[in-house]
Amino acid sequence: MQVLWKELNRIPVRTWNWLEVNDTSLDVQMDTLADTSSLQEAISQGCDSLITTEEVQDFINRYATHRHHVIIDAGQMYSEPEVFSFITTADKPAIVDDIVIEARRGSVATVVIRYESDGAAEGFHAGRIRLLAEKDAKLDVVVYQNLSNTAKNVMTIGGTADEDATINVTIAELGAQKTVSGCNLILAGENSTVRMRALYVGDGARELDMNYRTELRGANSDAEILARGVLMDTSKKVFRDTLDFVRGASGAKGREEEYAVLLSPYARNVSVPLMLCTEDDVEGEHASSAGRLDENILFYLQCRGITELDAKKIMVEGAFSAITEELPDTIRTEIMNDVKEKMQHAQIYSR
Amino acid sequence: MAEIKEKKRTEVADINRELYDIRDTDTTEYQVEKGLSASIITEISRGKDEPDWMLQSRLEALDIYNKLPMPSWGPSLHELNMDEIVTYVRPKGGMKQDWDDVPDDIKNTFVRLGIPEAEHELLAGVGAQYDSEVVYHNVKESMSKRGVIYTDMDTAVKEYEPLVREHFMKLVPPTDHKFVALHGAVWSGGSFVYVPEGVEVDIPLQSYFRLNAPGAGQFEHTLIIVEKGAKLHFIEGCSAPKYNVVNLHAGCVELFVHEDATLRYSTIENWSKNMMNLNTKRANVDKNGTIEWISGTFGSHVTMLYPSSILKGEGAKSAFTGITFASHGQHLDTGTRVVHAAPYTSSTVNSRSITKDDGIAVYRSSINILPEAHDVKSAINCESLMLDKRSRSDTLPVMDIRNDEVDIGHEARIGRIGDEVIFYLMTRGLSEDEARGMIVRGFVEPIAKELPLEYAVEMNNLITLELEGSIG
Repeated sequence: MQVLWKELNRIPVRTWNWLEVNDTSLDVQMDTLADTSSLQEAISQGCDSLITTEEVQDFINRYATHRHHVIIDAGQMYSEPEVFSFITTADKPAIVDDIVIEARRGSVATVVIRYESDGAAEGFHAGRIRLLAEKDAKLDVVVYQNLSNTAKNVMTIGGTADEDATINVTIAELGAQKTVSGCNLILAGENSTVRMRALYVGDGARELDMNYRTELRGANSDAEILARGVLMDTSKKVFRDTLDFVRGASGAKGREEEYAVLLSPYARNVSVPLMLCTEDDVEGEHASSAGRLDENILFYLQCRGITELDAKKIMVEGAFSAITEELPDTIRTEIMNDVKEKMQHAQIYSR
Repeated sequence: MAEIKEKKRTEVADINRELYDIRDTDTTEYQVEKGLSASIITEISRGKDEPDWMLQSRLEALDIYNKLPMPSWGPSLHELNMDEIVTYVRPKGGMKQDWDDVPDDIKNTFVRLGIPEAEHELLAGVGAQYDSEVVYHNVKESMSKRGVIYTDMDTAVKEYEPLVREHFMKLVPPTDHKFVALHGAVWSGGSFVYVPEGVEVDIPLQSYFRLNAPGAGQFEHTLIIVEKGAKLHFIEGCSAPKYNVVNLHAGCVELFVHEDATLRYSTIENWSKNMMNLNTKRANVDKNGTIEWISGTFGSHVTMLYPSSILKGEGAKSAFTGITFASHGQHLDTGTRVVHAAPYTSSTVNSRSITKDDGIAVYRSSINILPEAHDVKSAINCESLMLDKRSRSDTLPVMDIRNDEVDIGHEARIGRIGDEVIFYLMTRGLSEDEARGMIVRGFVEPIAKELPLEYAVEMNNLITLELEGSIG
């Protein structure tokens, strides 16, 4: 079957068409998947805050190969993360997962979701993660994607944080030939908090298209989007992040910050930090920057006997620490090892 | 649930439009029919006695206009109906070089705006356009003797044909977008400036555009060439009285800044709130050249305005400083575009906006760094002040970087003034109102100090502040 999806990752407010950032598309050929729509479950209101297309939603509704509905009971606090692992193989190259996580009132939990490939076979992943954090709940979600270099990946995450609730989402996009990754988190309740962390690596001819949005509705809500990335070879990345202050979100605060390390003169780095506001009593700020690693620091490390490549790895690890330091130890180590591995095999570092 | 206290807000009065809304009723000598057609365009061209190449250029632009779609982004333009727009209105009297020869009612319009006085006291030359034609143009003899050319575009097309033909709509081609194509078809009036190599025009030239006729369009074309090592400050002002029908402004500005030259282009736009302002401005900057955009957007119903800089030569620089004030009934979509097409180029953007009373201000920009542009620096800063819950402020920047040897950063803020800042100033002996006033004036100061306030009387009344309570 052929899947051709258009207008994915639509930017909240359109801009000049020639910039090619208003949306993206994905074209995939795959074996026919079984219809599993009868296995869909009802979910709580508030879980459905995705900003993806109806085509993607319908596809997942119909062809999901994995469905998980996680409910963390009220007051329950789990210190160890719950891990879901999905692996594409030569026999099962397509994974379509539909995950719902509902953190009931006052609960605390961490969920890690991993997408990987066994071998280099071409694969396909379409995933939907829907989140709900009720009053006083704290939900941490880590999405780690390291599919094969020929895979195509579409990920859409949506969530709502109620009064005094916290949702922290960390997304690490390391693999796939083309990734379309979107996340939309709504701070619905007063004093709700959302932290969105994005870490991305572009190497080879990888294409990354990301669209991360927070919608601040609740009074005194607090949102932060933090992104770090490294681009090598001829990779290309489009990173859209949006702070949307909705009328009524009095006292809300939002910050978004992205920093991209450029390690190749042939990579293409596109950043679109949006800030939308219809409420005057807010504080919003965003910053976006890109550039090479500081040559003085590189030189200093090399003076200490460290090779240039290892020095760059150390500096990239330092740049990523703002995101990785809050992750569970095992996943943090694994992510950084994978980042360094990709840096090791990158082809082009200078003209 | 904690009680949310309603904060007092700072009141900022609307711009006083009394001066601008005076209408002249008997100044038209001739106008074309409403709408757009090849016959109307041919009529405009014949009336100007233009060379054939210009008529062909107009007709080709009309063809492009008819094929291009409306923009799929930005403010709604649904109120614009080209079938109802009169694209050419010729005022009485023709062009003069002495204010005494300009018809009284037209002259008095410019006298009220302070233009003749400013020319006498402060400027090296003035062009004044009324509806579709330039009614006054003069340049100081000292400038003419140095080879500076400052004339209206219609004259330039004939008297400096090779130079104009070489540059006209080459930097902004009709294919750029629908309203540039429209401009290419019906343009009229505007200014042509040529500054020879090494000449520094140390006092500014100013063109003022006044659209008086209801339901009309103004499509002036400004073409400026600043040769190697030369320097110029050009000021553009515009206004129109308010009507209940839509007026359209689709002007075009093309600036050629050659090697080591500097051009400062200042605009104060104060169109009435029935005006659709769809202007296009672009500068091409050669090696070590500098373009400085100073942009104040205060009027119009809808504005789409993004002065653009193409940094073509090594070491070229662009600086954009802008302020936008959107009040009731206004949707002002402004910003800038910079293309770094050569090494060692640099750009800065400093933008401020204030919104109130359901006004909408959008900051929209793009910074493009091409693969061959290494060692590039770019810094963008924009800040927004919303004065009430009824308005809207959006920031939409895009950075597209295709070289790793760059140093680029963008930052933006929106919000209120913190109580701790007020407290600090009050501990220094200021009253609360004084403290708040100082902070608001400080907010606009980086932009206001660049505006050519001293050159036009109305600039002094742009924003008046009445302060009460907090700002947020």
